[in-house]
Amino acid sequence: MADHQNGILAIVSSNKERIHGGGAPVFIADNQEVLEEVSNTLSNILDASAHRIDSELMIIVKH
Amino acid sequence: MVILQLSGRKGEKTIGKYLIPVLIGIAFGYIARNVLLRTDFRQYPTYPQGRIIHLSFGFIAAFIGAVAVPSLLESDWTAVTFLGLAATQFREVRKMERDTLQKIDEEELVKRGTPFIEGMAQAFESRNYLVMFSAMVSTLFAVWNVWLGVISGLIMLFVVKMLNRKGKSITAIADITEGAIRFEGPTLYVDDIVIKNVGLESRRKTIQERAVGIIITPKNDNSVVILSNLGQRQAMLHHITNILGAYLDSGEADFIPLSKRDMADGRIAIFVMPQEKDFKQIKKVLQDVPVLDSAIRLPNEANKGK
Repeated sequence: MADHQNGILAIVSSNKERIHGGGAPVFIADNQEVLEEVSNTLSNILDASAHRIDSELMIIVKH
Repeated sequence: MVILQLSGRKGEKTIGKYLIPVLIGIAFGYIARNVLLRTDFRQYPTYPQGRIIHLSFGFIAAFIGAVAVPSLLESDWTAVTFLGLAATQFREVRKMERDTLQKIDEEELVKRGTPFIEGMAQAFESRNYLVMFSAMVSTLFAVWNVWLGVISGLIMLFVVKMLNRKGKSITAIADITEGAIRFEGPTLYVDDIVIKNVGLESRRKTIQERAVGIIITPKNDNSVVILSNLGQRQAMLHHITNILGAYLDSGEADFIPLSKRDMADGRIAIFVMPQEKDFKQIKKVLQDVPVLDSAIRLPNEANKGK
């Protein structure tokens, strides 16, 4: 994983069906709470922003 | 007058003849540099090293300006190449100043931005030139008459102060009002202008508590173009957080101050999380932000064939 690459660093989703592999690491969460928690932790570790696409999907992006 | 009475070789007389005027020129040039130097809340130039550097360069510029006059009066035209060399030196010095400021800016929480830094480096170079001309003018008049030199030196100080007066501030080109910070789902708005997507609920809560939204409405067509300039907007963000503090840290990407433009009417929305949330203070600070030289555009003066 490139440290300072711009773009999607990670994907967190609560719906496995919507994810296809493509480069960014994917994390599957069981429910909304876990989704928030995982995104929060990832954004702290990566110093990146968590953005919500919709109720089942969050992406972690470095600007 | 004692010095003028020295007899002897021509060289001694020349030195004697010009010594006082040159000293007057250097003195007024150096005083001019002091007049131009202010270390205010922005702590630029830094104290004391930066100040020493600036004052020393000012002294050198004054010396060059003062010494050029006797050379020209004695028809020693190589003095002109000397001045050309001085111009090159000043340009080098400006480059050096710009590079230092850029390097430091990389580590700022809220950056100044390149156009702002360009303006500072340009101001530095222009001040050295002002000092050089002050010294030149003072020395020139002092050669005729010492008191004339002193008076012209004082006039130059006044001219220098006038030329260095603060340029326009934002208050001249725009109206500043408070904007409401609100969320529609994960999207952050200031009034009706979209700022960004904030995914995490905890961050949204913090932003709702601590953020301030500001709407800047341009007063005319010229202002629309000036305010759209990214360098100008970054300078505003830097200024606010510099004076009022910021709820921010490295790596907290969601709290970084942001400015967004309403593309339809040119209004600028600012999202910022200052330590001091009192809008009256924020408005005052914002009103005093200088309009960057590199951002000024006057489209109204162009021939648009209207």
